[in-house]
Amino acid sequence: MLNAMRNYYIFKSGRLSRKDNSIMFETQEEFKSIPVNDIDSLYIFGEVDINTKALNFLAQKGIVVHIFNYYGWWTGSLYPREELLAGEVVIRQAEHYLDRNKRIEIAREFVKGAIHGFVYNLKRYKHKDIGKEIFQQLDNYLNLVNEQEDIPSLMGIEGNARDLYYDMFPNIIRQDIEFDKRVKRPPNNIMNALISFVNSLVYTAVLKEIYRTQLNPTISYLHEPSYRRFSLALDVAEIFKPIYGDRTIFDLLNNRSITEDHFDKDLNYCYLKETGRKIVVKAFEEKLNTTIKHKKLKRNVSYERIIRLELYKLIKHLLGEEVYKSFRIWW
Amino acid sequence: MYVILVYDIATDTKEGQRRLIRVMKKCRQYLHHTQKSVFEGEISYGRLMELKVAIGKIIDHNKDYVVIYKLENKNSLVRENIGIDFDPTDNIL
Repeated sequence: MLNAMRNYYIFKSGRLSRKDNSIMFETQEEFKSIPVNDIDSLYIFGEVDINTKALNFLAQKGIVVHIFNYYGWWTGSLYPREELLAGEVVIRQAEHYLDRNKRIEIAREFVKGAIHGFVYNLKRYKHKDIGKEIFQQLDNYLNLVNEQEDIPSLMGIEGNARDLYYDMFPNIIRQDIEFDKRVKRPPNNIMNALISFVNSLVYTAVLKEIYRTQLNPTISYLHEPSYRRFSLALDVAEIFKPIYGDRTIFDLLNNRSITEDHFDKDLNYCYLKETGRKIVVKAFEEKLNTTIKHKKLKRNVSYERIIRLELYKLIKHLLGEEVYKSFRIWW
Repeated sequence: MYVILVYDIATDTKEGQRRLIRVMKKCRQYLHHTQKSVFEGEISYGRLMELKVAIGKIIDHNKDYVVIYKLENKNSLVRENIGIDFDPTDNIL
């Protein structure tokens, strides 16, 4: 047993309240008490009423609440007041941002982690149509990362590698699905809708883990901290998007667990229906609970825990204890 | 660890009825309410210890008793339903 606490996902409409020092979810049909000590974080997709009493209680218990709108877009999170305050870490975080060399060093690691994820995904779902040249090219990009001296060009490399990787998606996916290029805000087809949704799940999973560490979520390295989001979560999510998010998508589509019927389509946008969202959330949740034998710790850790370990590595780097090397999947 | 908790509280007195409710409310903070006096769910050793201490303080040790069935590994649990099929510990609502 590693992490007893679980994420709870609410799709129904109802009212969430504090009752008996625990959480009560009340719908038209039923009362359901959710044990507060079992909640790791809360995902709200349905139309839920919540009052300050419940919000205060959740914050007090250190539970991060993620809220999604009607279309399944992440709209925000209740990020409780930081409890694990460590001035030292924040100062070092800022120092590593302000110093150009230190900043790019960390940013490079995020990009390397991401590209490494692309390569391993393509290797894992190898298909005869994925030629050697692709791996060669991705390898080139990986080498180019070290040569980039500023953030925009680093982002450029990442973008190019990502485009190349997305181009290979039709070869991996055994369902006949239209996917020309990545389009966001709003996604225009099934594939883009899926990627957007799953990426937001990865992002929130990282954000929740950041809350559990001393790191400040707004000071980031690859993305500019001026972004409206908690940009450190965006940085770290880059590493985990391909290996957690995309792999979930491949499995769902190749097993035909998700098909066109799970989407609502209109002229120029596309989004998951509730039934589809539930399937994706369930698959993602299973993914996070999958365990692997950690090479260094020599024990089983869940995918979810790997995110936290990644953040600990970052803290060690900031404090000058150990040089940060981003997580590289090896399976 | 996975736990099934069952309690039997003597409710013949007003005192007893109060204890019953207090035990229920305490359990709700940690486990899923499956049936009237049955709770179950995944819980860590530490949390279970907390719960045990809390229940110990509420109940009358001469009249009430609480049984906790523990399963080290949830995989060894097979859950079978007769009637309505539902999992009270479901985390997707």
